Amino acid sequence: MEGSSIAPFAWFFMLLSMGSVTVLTAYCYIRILSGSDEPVELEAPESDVPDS
Amino acid sequence: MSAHTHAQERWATRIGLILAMAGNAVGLGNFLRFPVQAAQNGGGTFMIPYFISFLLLGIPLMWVEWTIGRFGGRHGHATIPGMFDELGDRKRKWAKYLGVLGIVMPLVVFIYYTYVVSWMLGFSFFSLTGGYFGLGEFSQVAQYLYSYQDVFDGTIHGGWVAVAFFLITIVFLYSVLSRGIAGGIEKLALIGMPILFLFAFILMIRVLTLPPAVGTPAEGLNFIWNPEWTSLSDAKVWLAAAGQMFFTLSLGMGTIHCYSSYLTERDDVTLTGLSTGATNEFAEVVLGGTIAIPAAVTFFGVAGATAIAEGGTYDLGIVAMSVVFQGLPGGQFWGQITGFLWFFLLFIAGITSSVALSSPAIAFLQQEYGRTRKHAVLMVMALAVALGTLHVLFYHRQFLDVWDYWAGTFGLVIFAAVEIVLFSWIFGIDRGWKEMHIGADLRVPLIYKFIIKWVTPVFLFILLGWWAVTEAVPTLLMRDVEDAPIAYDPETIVYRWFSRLVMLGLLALGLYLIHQAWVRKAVAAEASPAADPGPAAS
Repeated sequence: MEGSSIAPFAWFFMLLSMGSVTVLTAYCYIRILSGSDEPVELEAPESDVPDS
Repeated sequence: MSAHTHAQERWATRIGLILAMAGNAVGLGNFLRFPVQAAQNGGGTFMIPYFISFLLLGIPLMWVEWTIGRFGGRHGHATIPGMFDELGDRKRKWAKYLGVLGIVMPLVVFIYYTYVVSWMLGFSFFSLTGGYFGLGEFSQVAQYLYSYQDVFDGTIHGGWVAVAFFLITIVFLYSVLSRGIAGGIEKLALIGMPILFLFAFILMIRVLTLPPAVGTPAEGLNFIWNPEWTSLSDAKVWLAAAGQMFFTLSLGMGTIHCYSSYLTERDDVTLTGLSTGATNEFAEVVLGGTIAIPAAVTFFGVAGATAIAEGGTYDLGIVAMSVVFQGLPGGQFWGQITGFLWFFLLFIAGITSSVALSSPAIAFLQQEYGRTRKHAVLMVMALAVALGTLHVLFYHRQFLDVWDYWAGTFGLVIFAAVEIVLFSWIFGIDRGWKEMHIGADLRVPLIYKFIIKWVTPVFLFILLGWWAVTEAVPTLLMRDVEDAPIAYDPETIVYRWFSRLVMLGLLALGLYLIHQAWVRKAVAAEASPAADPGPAAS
């Protein structure tokens, strides 16, 4: 490959890796934003919630 | 009492929680360790075992840790001993003692990691004031760093300089941690993480638009991503990928559990957990992969950058980058600004992780010994100053290397193996699966039930066995072997033993404190039979 260029397989792995983590991140935040970001409840937890 | 104390603290917003968890995960390793690991372990092909580790180790363990944390929080526990005790239905008295790993290991890592983070604050200051500008050559900048690290070497820096930046970092941590979860840790994340991403984007664009010098930014990207197909058959590459997954997601530390314990029982852990993992991966793969190595290759060429990377992440992230900033187009002013952006970015990445690492010990003192938050923070910071001073004094005697290997590397895998067995086999995967899906915004694919029960534990035990044979035993015996995690140096043997003894002392202290805490609970239960604080200590 030419000295200043990026080899085809390097492009492939770079774009695939960066693309997949970007898509995953975007998916998560879209899912969160499409729901509600209300403040987490401030009251004490119910200590009697059964374990199973 | 403990449940009451714990119930007083909660995350204020979901985005604050995600950023705090992401701040826990995004650390120096994302920007310094990942690109070096990728370049040294097959380039593009490294990403195959890396993503397989993410799917089979990273994501499942993350969900397990979030679930254990929220489950523990519901029962009034913010730290691992209490959580493990609950996972064992309070019948298995040994479980809480295994939880010592989740208190002492993050504390040990916190102490030395905070010292390293303070270097980044120091170099942010040196960048703004032009301290290393004019040195030019790599060897001279390296001497500048080494003089800073060695308090007995007064050739460039006075011995007090490293101590001063360490103490400033500790004071800053005290001011954040003493304000509590929502008022301190969450606010730091809400301010710090956007700044971190902004600085990283600016630096990424600056690096990728650098004019050609000895090399080019494209050659740097090629250096990281060009695949070496033969590396896929090398077990070391697979282990390096799995190891990187632990470092980058802060798994096996006890910090995710501690943060998750401040959720309410109905807060989602599946989508929120996945979001923090994804945020961390974005910071690592997209941003971490496009700054340090491409910049180093542009200024030093592929051969030069390879030699630098072999010298370690600090040679790459601190020394080489300091040389790069001096040679940037636009003159010294822009070089100083860019240098500040880089080192302050690393400082933010590190300090948000330091905050998380100290949290289990603070929460333990609060809950089990009834300390106020400020008092608990003060105690942990005082311990960090006392033991951190040993790292300041003996950094060049491999004192830090010993802690980094046993607590910050090998210990993570041991802890993860213990927790996955407790969760999947003792608590039970069916109960665990139901627990995970309480309030869930994302239904986890059913295949993960199988993965969490079988694949992740097997993966972990293979990893543990391999490391034990190839690394841990030779390191334990201080043998002179090639590629040892701690370079063999006969002159430092006394310091390495001293370092081990201090760490073992902390472990013994942790076990004693856990034992005493459960004795106190048993006494309280006898005095007040209506309450049910748990069984007597064994």
